[in-house]
Amino acid sequence: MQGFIDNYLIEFGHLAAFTALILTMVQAAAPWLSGRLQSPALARSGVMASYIVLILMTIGGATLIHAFVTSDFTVKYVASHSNTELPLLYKVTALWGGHEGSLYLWAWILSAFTAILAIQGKRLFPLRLPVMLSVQACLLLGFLGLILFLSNPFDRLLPGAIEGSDLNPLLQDPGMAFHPPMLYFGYVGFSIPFAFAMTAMLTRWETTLWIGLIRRWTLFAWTMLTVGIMLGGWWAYYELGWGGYWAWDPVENASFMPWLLGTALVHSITVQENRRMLQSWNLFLAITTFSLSLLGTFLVRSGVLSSVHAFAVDPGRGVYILLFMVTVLVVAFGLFIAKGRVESEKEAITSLASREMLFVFNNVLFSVLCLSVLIATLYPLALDALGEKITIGVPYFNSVMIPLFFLVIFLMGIAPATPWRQVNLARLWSRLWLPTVLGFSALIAMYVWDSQAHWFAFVGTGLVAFVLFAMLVDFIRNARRRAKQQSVNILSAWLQLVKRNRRYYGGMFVHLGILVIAIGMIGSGIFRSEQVVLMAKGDVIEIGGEKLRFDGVKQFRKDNYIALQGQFALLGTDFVIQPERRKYPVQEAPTTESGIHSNWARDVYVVIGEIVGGRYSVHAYVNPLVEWIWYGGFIIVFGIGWSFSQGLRDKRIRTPAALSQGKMA
Amino acid sequence: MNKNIKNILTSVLLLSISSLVFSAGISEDPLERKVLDIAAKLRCTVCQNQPVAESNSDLAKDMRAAIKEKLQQGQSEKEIIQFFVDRFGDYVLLSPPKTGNGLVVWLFPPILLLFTFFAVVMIMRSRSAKAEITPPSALSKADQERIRRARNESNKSGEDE
Amino acid sequence: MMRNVWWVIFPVLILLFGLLAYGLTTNPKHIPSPLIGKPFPALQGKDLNGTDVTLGVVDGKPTIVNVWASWCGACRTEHNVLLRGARRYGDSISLVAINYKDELPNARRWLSSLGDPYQWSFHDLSGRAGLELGVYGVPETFFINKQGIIVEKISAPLTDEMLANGVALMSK
Repeated sequence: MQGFIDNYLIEFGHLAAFTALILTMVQAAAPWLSGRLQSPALARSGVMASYIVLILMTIGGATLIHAFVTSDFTVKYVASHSNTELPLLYKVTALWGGHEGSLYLWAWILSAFTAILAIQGKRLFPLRLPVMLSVQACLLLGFLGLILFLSNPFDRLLPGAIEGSDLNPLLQDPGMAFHPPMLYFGYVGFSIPFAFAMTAMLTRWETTLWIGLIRRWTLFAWTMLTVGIMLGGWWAYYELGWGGYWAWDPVENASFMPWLLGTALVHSITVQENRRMLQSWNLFLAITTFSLSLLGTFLVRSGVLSSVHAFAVDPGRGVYILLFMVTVLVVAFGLFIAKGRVESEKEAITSLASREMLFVFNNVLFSVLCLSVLIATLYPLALDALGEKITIGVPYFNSVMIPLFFLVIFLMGIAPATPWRQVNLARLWSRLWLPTVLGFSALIAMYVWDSQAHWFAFVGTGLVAFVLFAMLVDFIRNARRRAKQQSVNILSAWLQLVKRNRRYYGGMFVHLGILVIAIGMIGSGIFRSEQVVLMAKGDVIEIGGEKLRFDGVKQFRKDNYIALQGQFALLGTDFVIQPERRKYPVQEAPTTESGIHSNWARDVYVVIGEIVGGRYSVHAYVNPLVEWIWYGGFIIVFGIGWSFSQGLRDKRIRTPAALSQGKMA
Repeated sequence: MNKNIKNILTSVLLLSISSLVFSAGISEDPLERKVLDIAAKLRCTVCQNQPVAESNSDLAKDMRAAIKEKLQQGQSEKEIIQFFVDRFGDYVLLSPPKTGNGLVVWLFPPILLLFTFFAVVMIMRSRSAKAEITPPSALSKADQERIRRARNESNKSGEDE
Repeated sequence: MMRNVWWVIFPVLILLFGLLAYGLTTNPKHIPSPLIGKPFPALQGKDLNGTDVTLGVVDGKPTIVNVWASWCGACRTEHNVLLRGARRYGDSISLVAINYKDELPNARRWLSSLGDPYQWSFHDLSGRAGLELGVYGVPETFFINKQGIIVEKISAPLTDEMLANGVALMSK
């Protein structure tokens, strides 16, 4: 009996996935079928279908995980990505270690979010739910088709392999293990605003009625994408041994583009909720953000672009994904052009100097950023068609994108101080003169401190200081006013403010997190120290104000690898930095583990290389303030959480969207 | 216990002596640094998007060795980079050259930004010209007074979004 | 306003898809060589037997310089093409090679077991000669005309057709 289960459990999962495919087709066709057959019940069947699809997909996923955990090498995917010696955690996360499994994860998350949407929709928008579920089902259909026919993780390898090929050592790492799921939560999360936008265009649903409903979905997707990107950067930092965290690699760009537009969307939704305008922008951004998620999927898996991250090349799959993406985009944009302007704006921008206008500029800026990244990523391909080959690498991206980000930071500073509708320049200046002065002072201070540094350091520091103080001035002003109004002391006023306006102050926390990240990037990007030296035992090097003494190496075996570990005493502390070179016998791909000593002020980062004439090649860095990047990430997540927790029983004026729904989203 | 303490003391003594003898403050070979600086500007042609300075591939190692040799012969950075461009094409440069087709991609973002900025301003201007608020003179004195007072109130209090 | 957007969005999308579809057909690793049309650098060194040789135009005839190594699997696939080519074109062309980053015993063994179509093979142990020629992988083949100008560089295993085309180009 056990043997039967072992052999056929995976087939059961395969069958479950197939049944999910069939049901998804039903879910996709439900609204139209029900119209044709005049059967309202059929429309509602989409809801039940979405629940069952989720259950089936979960069953399929569970059998795959079971196959990994029991090292069932009769499953081809398990045989190529796992090994009996692999630690348990990585046996499970190996599910998304390769193309087929990660696609399955994508599809599973999509089915889960669809089911949640169904539960939410039954209560809040039951009439339009079938169409919305149909949109989601079409997307899921595309993915399941790809998975079950072209990239099947359930394929058998009979007779089974004796031992598996092991998971890529680079992925045997906690950061890398959770980076894909976080990213996919983000990518798939943006399918919800997409579905809303499509449904709105298909069923003439006024934007004001649903824009509040996607606020949390969009924030959630954005947060997941942010966390996923940061996990990727953090992993690249401590794992890849070049002391950096972002290389503007095509696959990195593929995740960054939806993030950029997602940020614009998050802000644009706020404008619509407050001022009932920018509908077209919101529809456009909702469609394009998700389209970029799909584009990212294409770029990563089709072999079109050369990248360290790309999955194994397969043009066949590339053709399928391309056709799928073309279909989705043509339908979506076609609808947008035909019906995107059905509703007229309730309000109009009356003055070019107003917060609304700044938000429009915000949308424009992020769109330009996104388009620039897209063009730069695809330009080499375009030139290749003309017979020329160029590389667009890090120096280009830094030179071009960073000034644009400076503009974003500047906007971040002036927007909260700018009132809606019409700015009064005198009043604006009264709020911003102090931050401006302090910003310039910071700029000059940075110049005085190191006049040889790249000008990014001066402008960046000045801008960060400007925004920081602008936020502080804003906070103090509001607190003072509240203290006076409510006759409380200023401290209680602060606390009350932050507690009562969670959306606003959650957003301010997120901005603060961005500033902290900016500080970390200026420090580690511009003021980094680096040395490459040959060291014998006992040698001491001085770098970035720190001293390192090489105390030889240790060799040992652990888990599924053999390690050569360098011992570097960080003089002045008790700490020994221990970078490693690991050899994984099965995969035969050596990896390096950097040795890092972190504190809030700097990271001391050491990589041990090969032995040359009795001495080891050592690459050492000191990265000032780099940990602030990860701190900023935490602040952002906290800010989002704070914003999310805005209670339902809120005493502030309700937004029009909520009023028409009768509830606060 | 005694034996352990003796061992520890001996080790400490030996270590201190050896560290006195062997602890040499060494620093990076400036030639190596120059090699890496130049290598950081070149793309490893057989790698996926990595600079020659970071790659461990055979070709990258050969290229670094060649850079070192040329520096020792007294060639300038410009000459060395040109050497590689002549043989591998612009592809070997990590950033596109600021001429010809490369110039397009350098100019694209700033031009796009300026263009969309002005386009948006133009569009918004033409729209706001259509959506005018009722001019105040059309309102009665009492209403004007109420509006003025309400504006002052909102300017002083009320939280911004 | 939407009418205007139509004219922008659709061409952009079509361009994008066309580009991506094209991208599926290309190999991101292939690099066109800037050396085509330039004179072949005169590189001096030793061949596999220790004799002094100079790379470039050999015996005043159009010359093919093939880059190979015993550790290169793809070089095997093109080897028969070269053997055939050496017989076919005989005295009208010169056929020499660069043995790239290879140990002498391995290289000699490879040639003796598979056949040696070359007049001689330049021994480039360090890879410097290859670097001088923009070699980034093996096998590669240069076609040089009588005047010493590189008329073609192939960065893939040769087929009979490629060889014929190259010979035609360099004999013009």
